[in-house]
Amino acid sequence: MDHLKLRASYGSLGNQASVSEYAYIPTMSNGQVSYILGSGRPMAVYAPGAVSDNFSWEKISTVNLGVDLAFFRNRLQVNFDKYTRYTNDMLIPGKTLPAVFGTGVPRENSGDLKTKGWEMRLAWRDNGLLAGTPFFYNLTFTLADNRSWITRFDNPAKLLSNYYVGQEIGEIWGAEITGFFQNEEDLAKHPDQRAMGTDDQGYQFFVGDPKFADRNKDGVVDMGAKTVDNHGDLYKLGNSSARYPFGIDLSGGWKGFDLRLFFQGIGKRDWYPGASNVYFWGIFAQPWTNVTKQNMDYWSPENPHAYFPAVRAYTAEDNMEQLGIPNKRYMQNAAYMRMKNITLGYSLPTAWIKRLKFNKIRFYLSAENAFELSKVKVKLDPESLGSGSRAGAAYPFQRTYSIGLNLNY
Amino acid sequence: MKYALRFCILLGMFFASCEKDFLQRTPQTSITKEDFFNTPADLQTYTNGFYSQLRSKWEDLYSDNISVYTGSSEVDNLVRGGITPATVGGWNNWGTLRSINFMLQNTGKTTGDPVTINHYIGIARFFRANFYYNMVKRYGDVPWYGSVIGTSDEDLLYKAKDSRAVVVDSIMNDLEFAAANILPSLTNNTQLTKWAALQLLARIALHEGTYRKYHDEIGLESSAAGFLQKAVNASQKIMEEGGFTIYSTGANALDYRALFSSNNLSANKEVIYLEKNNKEEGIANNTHVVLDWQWALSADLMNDYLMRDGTPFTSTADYDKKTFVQVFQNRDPRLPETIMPPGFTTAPGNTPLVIKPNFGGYMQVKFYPRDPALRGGWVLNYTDLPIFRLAEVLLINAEAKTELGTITQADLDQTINKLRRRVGMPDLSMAVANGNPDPYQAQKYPLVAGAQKGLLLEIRRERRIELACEGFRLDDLYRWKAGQLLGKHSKGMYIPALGAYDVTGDGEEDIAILEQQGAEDPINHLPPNVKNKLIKFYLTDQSYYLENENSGALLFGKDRQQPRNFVEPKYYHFPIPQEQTLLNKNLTQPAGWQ
Repeated sequence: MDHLKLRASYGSLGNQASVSEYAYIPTMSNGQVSYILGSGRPMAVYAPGAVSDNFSWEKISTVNLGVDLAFFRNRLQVNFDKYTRYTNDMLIPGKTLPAVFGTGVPRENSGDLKTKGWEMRLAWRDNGLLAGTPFFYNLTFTLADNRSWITRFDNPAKLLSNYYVGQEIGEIWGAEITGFFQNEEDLAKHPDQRAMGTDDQGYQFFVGDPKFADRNKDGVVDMGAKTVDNHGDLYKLGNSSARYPFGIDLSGGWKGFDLRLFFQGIGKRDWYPGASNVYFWGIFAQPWTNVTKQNMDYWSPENPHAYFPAVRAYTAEDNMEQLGIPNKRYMQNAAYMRMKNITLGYSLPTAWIKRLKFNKIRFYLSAENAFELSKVKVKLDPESLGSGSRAGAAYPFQRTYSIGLNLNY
Repeated sequence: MKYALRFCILLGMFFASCEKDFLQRTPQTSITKEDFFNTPADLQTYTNGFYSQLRSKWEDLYSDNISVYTGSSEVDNLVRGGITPATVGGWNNWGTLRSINFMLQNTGKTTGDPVTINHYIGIARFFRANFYYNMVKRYGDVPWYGSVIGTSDEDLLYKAKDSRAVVVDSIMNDLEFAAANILPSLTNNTQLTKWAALQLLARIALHEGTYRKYHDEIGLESSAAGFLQKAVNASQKIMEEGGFTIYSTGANALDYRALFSSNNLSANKEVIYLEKNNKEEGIANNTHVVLDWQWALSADLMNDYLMRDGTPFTSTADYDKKTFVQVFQNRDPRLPETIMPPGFTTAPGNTPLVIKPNFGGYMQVKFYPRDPALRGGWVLNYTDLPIFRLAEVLLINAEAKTELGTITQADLDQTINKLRRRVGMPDLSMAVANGNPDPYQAQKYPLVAGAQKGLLLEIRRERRIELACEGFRLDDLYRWKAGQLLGKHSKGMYIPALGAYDVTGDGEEDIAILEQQGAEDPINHLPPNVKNKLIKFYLTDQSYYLENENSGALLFGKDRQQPRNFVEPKYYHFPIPQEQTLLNKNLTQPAGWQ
């Protein structure tokens, strides 16, 4: 061991990034109406939303413990940090109010959040002789993780539609699909699952539709009261947070050649294609959208084990209705690895270029975002997946290829 | 000395404090309530935003006027058993009420002409009444809120429902204020006038009066007559003082059509409140979809149109075995103005439209923009649409008087018969109607009884015909406690046997309904030039079928797959979404939904 350092720190900061200048004053919006009144379209002014007159900035406190180590004549370096972050008085809409309130619940210092995480870096660097010529190489591996939980929020009924104490950020609640109804008999003997249906199909199910599991064996498939304590057949089936972000950086050089490979990715992430995400659901979201490639594998008596159920419009249009209910069948593994950069260079031997009065001449080939490894069923950029109906509609990272020449003198 | 001077300046700066709240600045680019509601003009600007709450209706989705609907309708889902507190929507438009109450709460500081100020307060209260009556229709009892609710107003947020009687009294107070204070002349008929307020008052009073009379389960029968009298008074006032007339130039059916398919309703003296559409302003409607998009009309509606001589179609021999072309012969001229008749073309010179059996064949043509210049497609049609028109006022007047038993033949001549004469139909006679009540109508409305039974049935028929596709039918069935009519399977046109039929009225067959592809025996006798032009439909389609397998009325696969059943009296109300009763333990579901 060449080096050992133990670190410990504590810091507390205010965060006012989420506060706008006049957030405490209710302001009235205005606009031209979309109908004719009198002779034209006059202006209208509308009621302001509700604001709170009692809020302050968020307070973030972090406790960090770290260790830096070096071994084998500094060839191996290890850094490790473990931290806990307390985000207190989060400025978010307060507890869910009855709908008679008539407008959005104002933002207040309504919740506390606790985040636990760690970060690790391993680096190895060495050089030596290969076939009589010097070479060098570096390896760097970084890995991190964090998880967050709500530690304070006023939601006594523990409604799943808002934060509740003990909730892990990103958790996905959904139902279990055990297959498709293969025939009328199959349909008739299955417990009533109309609570999982969609208004567009009259909350009815037909042959070829997904079969939802009666997980709590109460003879009916439903969502209970959609609360933590009474969630019917819903269960926690995943988490949309990006976990284990990693990076692998390899570089080396020998006989004038140099090579760098940089990989980057996410180790674990669940992504459920949101309701109306037409890139994934295609015609199951809306019948007038494009048929997607994966849509072609749909249920029919001739194709009973298809990926998608029988084609029925709008079954993936609305949140928490039919295919809009998250389930493992269509849950996507959004872990990925991206070849962020690959560069191959060659520097002419110094002996050759001395006469030209250059210090260095280097040719290189480089590729950015050369490829990704992703298991997402639809070709969306795994790095820019979001939630909602247009998740993945981001402008994708471009693949860039370049050829270059460096001249130093 | 120099230092002393400097010191004094410094001291002065030190003691000269800012004015209180010097640092308290309001935004210069946004409107706050302190800057607003100061003048009648502010009130006008604010009420301009309310008008989206009451626009025209041009279809009867969903009701027994519809044969089948391929879109999604709450009422359709309700009668097919799909609605539960866990799935139901609604209870989410309280922002509408909040915005109205926000104004009413701030008009105390408005300065200016009190008459004008009260005019705009009247408009706000008109819209509040409209909001609340829609809530009462849907839920019965609802919590009444007369002010904006704050986050900590626990007693308001978590209060129980107020009774229907209390809420409706508040609604009537709002409407009476609106009718007394909205000026008849400050606005034109794209805006609210005193007459529009009186019409909403009359409409709601009739609804409430008949609802209380027929829905004995809510125990408010004794107060029904008072509401019916309010409906009479308000409608009478419009008829006598409003200066409106039934639009009639002697062109019969074309006068009726002009109300739903023209672009000059501003000048039409029948129209009390109107949705103006205009190409220059870029304001358009989507009415062209009424014809053959997601629904058609029912045989049940078609049956209710009288013969041209005033006798019931359903009294003619084999009325239920007439073909598509036959049913249009010698009928009330409003029938082909509502249901697309044989030979209809979308533009002069075009070939006639050919019906298809999928929706039953009775396609809606009322509100279809006839003039191709006004018909541009998806939200690009420029026909004006009535929101309130005098015909409804006359129908309210006649129905309320008949329910009260005070109706006379003179009243009928001032109301129903004006509508009949416009389209060239014979007058309705009280003596004839009451002397021989139509048994077909009587079986439809078994709760109608008493000395005025025959007349009341005819007034209900007239209302259904005159106001078809204007969005009244479901409310009417609900207030008459006639929900059972929503539980019946609907029918389309009659098909005597598998084979080919003329549907354009030229005597030549246009469509064929066959068992399946290739089963052409029923059409093999036709000359090749006719047979080759036939549009063929197959029962294997499954979206429709025939009552007696190979003949009979067209019925719909949807009714077979998802049978209807109207649960009395539960289905007269919708449930409140489950989450709301969870958030507020004092909020209870309507009867039957607990």
